[in-house]
Amino acid sequence: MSATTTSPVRAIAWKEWREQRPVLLMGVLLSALLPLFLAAGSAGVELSDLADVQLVVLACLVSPTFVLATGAATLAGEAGQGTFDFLLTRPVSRRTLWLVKVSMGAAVSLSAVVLSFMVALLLSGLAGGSGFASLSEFDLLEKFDGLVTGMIALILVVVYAATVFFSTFLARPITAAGAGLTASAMILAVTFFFWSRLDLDPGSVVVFLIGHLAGISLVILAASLALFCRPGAVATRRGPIVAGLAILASLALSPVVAVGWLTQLSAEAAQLETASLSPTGGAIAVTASRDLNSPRVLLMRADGSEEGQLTPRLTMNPAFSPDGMWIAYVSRRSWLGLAANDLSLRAVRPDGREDHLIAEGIPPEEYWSPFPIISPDSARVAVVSGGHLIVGSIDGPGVVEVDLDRTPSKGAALLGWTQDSRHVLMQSRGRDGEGALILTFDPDAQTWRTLWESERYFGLSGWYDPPEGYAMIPVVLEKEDVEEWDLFLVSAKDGSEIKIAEGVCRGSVHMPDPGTLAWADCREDDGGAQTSRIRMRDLAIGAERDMAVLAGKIVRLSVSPSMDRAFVSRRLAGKNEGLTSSLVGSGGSATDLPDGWIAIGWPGPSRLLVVSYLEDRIAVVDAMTGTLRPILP
Amino acid sequence: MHLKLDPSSNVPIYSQVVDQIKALVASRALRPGDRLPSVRDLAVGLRVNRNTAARAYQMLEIEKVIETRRGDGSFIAAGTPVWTLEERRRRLEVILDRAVVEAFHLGIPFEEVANLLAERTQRYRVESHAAGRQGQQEKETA
Amino acid sequence: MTSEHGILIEGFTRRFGRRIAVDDVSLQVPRGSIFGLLGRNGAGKSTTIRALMNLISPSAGRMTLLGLDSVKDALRVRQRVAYVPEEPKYYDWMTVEEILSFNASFYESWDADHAATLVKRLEVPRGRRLRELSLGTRAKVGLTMALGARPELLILDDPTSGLDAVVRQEFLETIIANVQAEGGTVFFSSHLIHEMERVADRVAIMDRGRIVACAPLDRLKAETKKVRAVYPEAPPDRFTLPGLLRVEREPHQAVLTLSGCGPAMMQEVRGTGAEAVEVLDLSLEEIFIETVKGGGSHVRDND
Repeated sequence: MSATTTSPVRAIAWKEWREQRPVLLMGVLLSALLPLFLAAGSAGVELSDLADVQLVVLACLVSPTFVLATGAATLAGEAGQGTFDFLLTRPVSRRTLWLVKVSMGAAVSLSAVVLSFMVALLLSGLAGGSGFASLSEFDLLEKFDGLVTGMIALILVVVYAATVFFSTFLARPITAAGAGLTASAMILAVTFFFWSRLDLDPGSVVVFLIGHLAGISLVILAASLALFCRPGAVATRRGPIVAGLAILASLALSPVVAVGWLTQLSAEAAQLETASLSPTGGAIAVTASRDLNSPRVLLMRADGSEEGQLTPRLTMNPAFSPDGMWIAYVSRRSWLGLAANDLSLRAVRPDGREDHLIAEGIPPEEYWSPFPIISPDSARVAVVSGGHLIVGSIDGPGVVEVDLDRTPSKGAALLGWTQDSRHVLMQSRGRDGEGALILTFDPDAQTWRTLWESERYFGLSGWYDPPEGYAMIPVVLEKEDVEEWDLFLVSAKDGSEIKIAEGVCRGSVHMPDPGTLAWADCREDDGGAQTSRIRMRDLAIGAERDMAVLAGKIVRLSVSPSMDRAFVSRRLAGKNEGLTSSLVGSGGSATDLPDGWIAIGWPGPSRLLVVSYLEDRIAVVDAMTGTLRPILP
Repeated sequence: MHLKLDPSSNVPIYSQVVDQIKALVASRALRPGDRLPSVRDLAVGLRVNRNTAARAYQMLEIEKVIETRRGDGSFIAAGTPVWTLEERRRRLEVILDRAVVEAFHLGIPFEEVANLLAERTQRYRVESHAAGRQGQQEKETA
Repeated sequence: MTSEHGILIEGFTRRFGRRIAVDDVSLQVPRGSIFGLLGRNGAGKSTTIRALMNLISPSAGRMTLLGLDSVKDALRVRQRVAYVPEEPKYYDWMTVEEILSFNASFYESWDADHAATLVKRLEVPRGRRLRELSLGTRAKVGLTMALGARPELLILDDPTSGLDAVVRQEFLETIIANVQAEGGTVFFSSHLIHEMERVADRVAIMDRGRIVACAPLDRLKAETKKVRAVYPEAPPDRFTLPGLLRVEREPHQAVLTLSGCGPAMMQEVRGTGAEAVEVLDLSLEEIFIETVKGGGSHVRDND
């Protein structure tokens, strides 16, 4: 007998270690045998590929098994052996006992997991796979990046905690393991459910998941400790009932914690894209996302105050109806709250109520997300996506879906509505991919009509999306063989065309109201210097006037409703990339704005709303003074 | 020390110990000056309660059969008992009275009692003589 | 300041659901004494003992060991009180050596030399695994673990059942030598009534969760007797005698089992019309059987 006696903690730890050693050995053995099993089962696969598969298998299948085994053994194993009476009649507190057992169990399962990974890597290296080298290689990192590894680790923690909890009550390790597995699956499913339902700021998702799962595990372990510490039979019949209640309680607790703690995405932290101004100019709806993940629509006053989330996660591209009563938007959200493949079209009142589905199952667009356009009478909304045109009623039944491949216009883009709200306007290339085409679609009769066609190509027109619909459609067409563009107006009624000007700046077209057309003429003088001349034309009487002349080539133009100011984005000589944004007054006075701003709209006669594509911010520009004041964030 | 104890007997064990030690003294198996085991050793050796052993020794001490010297142990007392003949007679009377009462309850006539007593006395004289001789033999071979 | 009592149980009650396993049990075990608890299987002895060690908690009442509360001071109790249960389960994979040093780590008062002496005296093989040992040797290991910490109180639940006579003798000797001889207290329950009769200072009889007798052993035996009363004709139909446990009737006699039997009792028996009265002594075993079969009130003392 040893002359020195160790502390009870070390003695118990030693005992636990000796009892759970087999688990460790089993783990190493298993990871040694696994490649053989896999190789036997999958002939014709490269051994080196196998090696990496094995690691994934280890992570997903085998690790939980170790964790379960040791978790179950911590307390149920002792009860099963019948040695609890012996332990509990030693002068050691139940709390110490529990702590040592559970810690040792965790240590052993951790060692088992780590050791088996090591052995797997070693063997895979020997077998010709990447082996340890894969630790530094990109592909392994890809499989086990921080978030995934963290998630796996947390899931194992939950499994361990649940199994320990059940082993507090049940006398058989197998039953405890089974119960633990079931409970963990339930917990993970509920966590998942809550995670998908809460519209968390994407930056907080990791924190939420870690906090939630870690929190639940701690609660479960604490419950196990508390219940173990009361004197009485260790395995009781009432156990499973208490167990179930405790698990439910912990499930109920955690979302409360989560919701209390975490916030939804706010404009502060978000990247803002695609804003829509309300008809009165008093409110803005914006698509906000964090790192391009989980976009949602935020609604706020035009000065940025009273910001709130209007729609749940995975929604985007809001559009105010002309009467201001509805906001249509596109949703990528499935009923589970996860990202779906197909899109749906929905509408909601600005106060957040009456959120409803208009059309679903819309095929997605590959490179960009589609924008809905609401008819001038605010009754209908149209969207083009994935080669389909969908027209639905904003507030009522009736959806029309047209496969554009079968129509005269293949690959058409949505232009907008006619002023009488009876037709949808689409523009596309010509029949054999040449020329330009404008079509109208009657959603009631479901008929197509070619409104106008040309052998010339479309230039890039600026979308200005008039809330009152199109009566005249400005079209910019390319001159044959020359990089110059001419401006035409096409009648939405009969497709008759009027030539307005030659040599315009592509993209510089804007109609501040249905009766006024504004554009910029692009001129290059002999010295190669470029200038743009902003001109306006009264369509009723046909009178034209100049507004201002500026240096550079205007690529975007937005004229204020008062017609005395304009926002321009232009490319200046000497600046290869990048556009200069400026506020221009009649007579040509120009105040430059900081780089990267694009006009959204005019909330008031002398206020301009702009969004920055560089900084994801929204700002108000005082059109008189040219001062820019960011309102979001 | 070898004593024959009957735990299920009605006589308390300490009493049995006292009686048997007294018998051993009477039969000269134990002589004055002989050392007795300590209370502890007696208890362990006989597998009886220590209190029982202690009580037995206490009784023996009171009856002057043994004497205990502090730090030394217990020894069979030397010399004659201190009680007067009167006291001794009286002690015996108590026991005899019990026997007589018992006889009455059993319905045994008194004349029979006297005969019985003579018989028992005779037998005892024979037995103790034999035991004494055996004890001497044991001492010689030890 | 040491307390007077080795164990003091006051009104201990334990319910399992609706079933009352132990009902208002009170008893005292003076320090330095050996106390025996008798009872049939299922009488509540083990429940009481397990409650003493705080393996289960009382539904009502209090238990004090060496002046310490069994629930609140359970940890301190276990430092000074050793417990050997019925059919103990130990870690069979451990060797004797291993379990002894495992056990030693818990006790501040562990005396390694003393334990070593015990192991040698009891002839326990140190290097063998527990699963290889016979029942008797396992029991000896249990006893060594209990005694190695030099406990002031030793509680045993049927310690020698299933053991052969040699081991039982060794057990008794070891317990007496190592516990009681040092002034320690012993509390044990057993079915081996002969052994209990030999060593116990006080006994208590437990039946169906209640204490039906509790007294010093000598007194119990002195006052519980069978009395044979012979009658001229048939014995009376009814006997109203205090402490009457049982009546066995025959044509001309009645054998009355009486507790609290003194000279006054004899008078009373005569008073029922008996022409001859004979007193029969009872062994503890017989007293026990008569008590639990009879179910009447019995010798009790409250000091």
